[in-house]
Amino acid sequence: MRVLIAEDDAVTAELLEATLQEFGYRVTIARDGREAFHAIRSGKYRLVISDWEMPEMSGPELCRRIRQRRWSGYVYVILLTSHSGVESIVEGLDAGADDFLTKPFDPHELRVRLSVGQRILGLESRDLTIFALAKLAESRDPETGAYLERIREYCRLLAEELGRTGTLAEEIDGGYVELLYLTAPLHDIGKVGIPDRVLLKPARLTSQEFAVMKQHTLIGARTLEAVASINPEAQYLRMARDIALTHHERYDGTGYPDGLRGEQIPLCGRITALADVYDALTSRRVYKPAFSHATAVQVLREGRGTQFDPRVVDAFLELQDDFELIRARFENAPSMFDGVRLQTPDACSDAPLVSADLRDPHPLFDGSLGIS
Amino acid sequence: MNAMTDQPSCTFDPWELLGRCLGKPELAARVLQRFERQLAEDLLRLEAAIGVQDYATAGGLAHRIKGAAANVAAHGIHEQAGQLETVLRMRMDEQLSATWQSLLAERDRFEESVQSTSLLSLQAAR
Repeated sequence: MRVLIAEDDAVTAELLEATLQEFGYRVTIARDGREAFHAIRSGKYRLVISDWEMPEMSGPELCRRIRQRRWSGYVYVILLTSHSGVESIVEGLDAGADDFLTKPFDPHELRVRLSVGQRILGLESRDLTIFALAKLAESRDPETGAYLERIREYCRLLAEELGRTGTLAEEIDGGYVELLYLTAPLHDIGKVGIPDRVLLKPARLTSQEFAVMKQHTLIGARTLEAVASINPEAQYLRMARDIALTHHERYDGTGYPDGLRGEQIPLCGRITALADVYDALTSRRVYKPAFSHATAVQVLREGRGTQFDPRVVDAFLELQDDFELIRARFENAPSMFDGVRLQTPDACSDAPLVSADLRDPHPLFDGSLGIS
Repeated sequence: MNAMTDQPSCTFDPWELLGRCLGKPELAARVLQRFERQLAEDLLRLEAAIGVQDYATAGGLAHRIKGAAANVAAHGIHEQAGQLETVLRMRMDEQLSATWQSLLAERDRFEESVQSTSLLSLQAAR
């Protein structure tokens, strides 16, 4: 990663440069704030270490100038200073600095503070990546409105409840809930690879068409796996992949694409499966009316231990009033994911896009209820 | 600072410099050389700025010397440059000459200390 150093003192600049190069960073040095600001405008630098006191433009002034402009991504600024005391910290933060490093700097502290900066920048890129992928997923989804918002709200509710009580409390903490909330909207991203004639068909799918439709789990998982393989530390991509792959698996092993059973199915997939079915049941489709909340509860209750993890169903039953509230809250609400709907070329084939030994569809998902 | 003698407690700490340079004596030697070169230039400019009573420039230079000295573990210069910066910024004119002379004296002590130190042998001794 590139780091820009704004430092008029050649000694400190050389020491910083050598230390950062040792840590694997690519370093550029600007001799004052003005030169640094010019370099930042190139768009190459998102990590900046700036001295406080420099000719032409001081560190705090550089921070202010950075914050006044729109950039393609967040610019993380560490102020290097021999100023100590609360007043300086307040002045620096007020100017837009993200962190401080006191002179003389300790190399190990420098490394840790840069890691923090990278983590923050990584979070931003994570949220943007998820948002972009969710927009893509939404662009191919026949549902309208706040479908993805509902799904992630349902997932969050279920995960929080499961984390509070029972045997899954060990596995689910606040971080898990947050990750699930972020990634659940990507569960159907594989639908970008399903032809319109299947995806939008306003009638029951034939068995051949349904075989095509089922491949959205594999297409989504493979897409996310490809991204995850070049970002091995991105946990969210692994969870997103698991959700995309397994949200149509059934607890009794009769789901698809892999016929996983029980705890072979990742927890995030088991949670999203219930949220997705509840939403499908209670939503109107062009080929079916919205079922009542009570009907949906009945269907999910009947699926306890067969289609769904019993603990997830129990959590749902505890929270069913909240589910109904979320459904009402997002009914007819505009979606942050809404965008232009993409269409596949007419020439798209219905032939399977990914070969897989898929199981026969369960009645709930064979088109008879209009849910896929 | 030693309160009894009014002298800095340690002029130069080569071990500390080596630590700041991740244990690399070549880097420490390079940084030290750069510091000595920059110090000589900055002291000349500082003297000139004081001579024309340009206290803003002089204060900035004293500040830079202070920061660079801290990074190379030149504690004596760091302290004296810090005092000079205060004198310049607070316009304590009556203390200016003495503080300036103290900084020059500390520069001399630092050079002696550096000449008697071999960073490579320090590293080998580890």
